[in-house]
Amino acid sequence: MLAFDFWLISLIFIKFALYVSSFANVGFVLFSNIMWVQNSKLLAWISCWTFRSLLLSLTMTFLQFGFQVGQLAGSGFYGFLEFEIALLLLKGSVGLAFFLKLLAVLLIFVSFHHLFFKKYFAFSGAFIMALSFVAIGHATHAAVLLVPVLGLHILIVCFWFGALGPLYYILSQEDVRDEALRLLESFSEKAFYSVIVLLGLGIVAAFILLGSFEALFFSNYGLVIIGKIAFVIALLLLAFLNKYRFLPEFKKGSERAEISLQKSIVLESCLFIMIFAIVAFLTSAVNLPLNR
Amino acid sequence: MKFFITFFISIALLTVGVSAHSVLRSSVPMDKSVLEKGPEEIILNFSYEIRLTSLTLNQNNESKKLDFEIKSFAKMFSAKSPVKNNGPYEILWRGLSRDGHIVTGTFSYYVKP
Repeated sequence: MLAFDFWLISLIFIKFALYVSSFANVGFVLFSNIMWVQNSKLLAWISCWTFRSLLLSLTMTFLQFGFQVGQLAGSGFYGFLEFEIALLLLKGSVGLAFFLKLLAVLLIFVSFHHLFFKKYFAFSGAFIMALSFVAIGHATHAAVLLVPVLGLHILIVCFWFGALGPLYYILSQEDVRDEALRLLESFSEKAFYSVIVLLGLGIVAAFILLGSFEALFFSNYGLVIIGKIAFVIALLLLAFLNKYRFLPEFKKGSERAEISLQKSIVLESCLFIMIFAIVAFLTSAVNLPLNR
Repeated sequence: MKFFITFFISIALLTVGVSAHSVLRSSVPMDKSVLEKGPEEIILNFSYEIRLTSLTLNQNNESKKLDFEIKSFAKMFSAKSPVKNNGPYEILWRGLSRDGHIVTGTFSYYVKP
């Protein structure tokens, strides 16, 4: 069985924090550029939280690398100082993912301070960050097809997750109801269809990784994926409620609908956080079936 | 808040149940085997190529790093085992798979008095 030790437990928590922070900053960047956010207060809010999440991403990227060295060295608490192991990791896909994350953080940071090529920096940063998550692990192990499938899967997750904070913020502001309505309508449309694509891509990725639908039900890895899919279906139900119930009522001026939308956003955030926890655990502690 | 704490504890507990899947195909001595005398060599046979980075022999609270020869990716690794007294032993191994995954695992054996 797997050696369930201090390093592995720490790495699961670090990976979880890395998912939350990186997906948030990529999401904020995608949201502000795709949705054409013009409101100055909302833009300031997005800038502030992008900067905070970038700092957390950067810290977690270094911590993750150090703890991976420590886990591989297996020589006590100071294992993360083993130079030979660090070099071995830097030469492989762990090193590639590490450098891609640093580059992505830099590009996203620059995108908020560059006037002319803002969008180019923003989208390149988002794309490279998504790529850094598929450069390592099962993605390079199973099939080449997994890279675009998982890359797109991650970008959609980021867009949705990164939209929740700004939407909650704009709903809590008194004088920007028109902008809130425009953003909610536009996002609701995109979110509803993107969750179906998300689910489809997730199932394709699971099938490529496991090799058969049978393995989805009869392997430990498959059973954890089913748990993840259950949370995604809950997200789909919330998206359905938002689009066909709360949003039309909000349009009519209902204050109750405004509160329902805010509650729905909080619930969606919780579901995302749970999915990130499952994936952090899945990609750290569970091995694929032996034949993969 | 209580819900989140419960959720994270459940995830941690789930690990114990799901972790039974190992990349180690077989070993000499076999996992949970009972031996007449201590083995002179430890052999690990993996399902796919890994780069073994650490091999530790544990007995009670005492642990000793074992030297192994191959310093590149391979399916099989061997190490000389110090012939020791009777009792339970545990081998802890750590390595890197070609796709960048860190893989770890343990197996144990018992030497009769």
